[in-house]
Amino acid sequence: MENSTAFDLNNATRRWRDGLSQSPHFREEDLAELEAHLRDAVAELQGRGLTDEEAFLLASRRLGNPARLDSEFAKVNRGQVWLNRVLWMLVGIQGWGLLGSIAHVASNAAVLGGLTGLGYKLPHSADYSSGNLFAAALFALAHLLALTACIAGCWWLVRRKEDTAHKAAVKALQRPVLLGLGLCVFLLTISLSSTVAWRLLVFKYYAPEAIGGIAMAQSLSFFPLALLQTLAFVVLTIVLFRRRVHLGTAS
Amino acid sequence: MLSKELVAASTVPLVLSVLGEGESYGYALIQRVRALSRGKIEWTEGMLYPVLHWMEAEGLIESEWREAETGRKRKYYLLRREGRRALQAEREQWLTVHQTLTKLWKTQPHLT
Repeated sequence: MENSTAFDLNNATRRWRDGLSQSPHFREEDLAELEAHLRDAVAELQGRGLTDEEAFLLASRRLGNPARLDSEFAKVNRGQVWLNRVLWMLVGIQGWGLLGSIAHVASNAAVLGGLTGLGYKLPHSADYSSGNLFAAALFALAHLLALTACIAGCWWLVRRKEDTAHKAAVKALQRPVLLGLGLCVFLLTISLSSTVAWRLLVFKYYAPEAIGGIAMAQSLSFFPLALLQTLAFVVLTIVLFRRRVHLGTAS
Repeated sequence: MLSKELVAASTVPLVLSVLGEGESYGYALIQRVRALSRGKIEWTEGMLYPVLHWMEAEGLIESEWREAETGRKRKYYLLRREGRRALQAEREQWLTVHQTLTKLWKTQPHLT
């Protein structure tokens, strides 16, 4: 703004690219190609004696205004956009199920292991006794903590270790059969241990009369979790929809 | 300056013809057309890429990312057999228009 020495060409280019990447109509490859073009154009204009800032402004104007580029790319990338949406839906469904299962396994193991380790005896009957309510609260709390930790872990992986995660994903995708088999085994292991395996362990290590109390506490712990999950999904959906509608009328 | 409609209609034959000379990338393609038309054919540069991608999807051209002498990567495009055929068809059509107009305007056609 103030003078040309304050202008950072790389910064401006990155911001320009980030601006375009807000739209779903550009693939990563399209952005890379447009950026290569912009850099070529800037280099040539610099060679003709323009300052960094002048060269950048002129080159980006010649490339075209972002709204028109967006609508042109939208025409050729329509199928691509849908593929992307379906992909993220699948990742979302699988991912949410997986996180839930992992949290389930971890919290069950922690609470049952912890209570047994401390010598705490769950009430033997399936009623609304204070012992069962206490255990239910523990189950719910442990589940919530485990789920939060899982979500935070994924967030950290995506935000902080983006490059590493991306490289690992690209490498894994080069061996689709191995990746598919690995994923199947992993997902099945998690889902089986969250449903069948821990019950088998409970049946094996706990007296029949204790199982009623455990099942009761477990069932009770689902209420607060279901409430929180429904609330979180409803709020998130409304917030995202409002943003979308707002953006739609603004452009 | 060319009209918007004519720019749109001539983009594909121009791209096919430039690539007929050998492989090229977006920026160089635009430079070549600008130089040959002495600046009279002026594209909104970014608009060329959706056209190139459409032509690639149609099987007229193919592309490849390669490192340029600057060290940066560029996407190079080259003509496929289907593209050569399309170029031939475009050539005949545009020459027909050109010849008809020059006869009507009673000027001598300067065709190579």
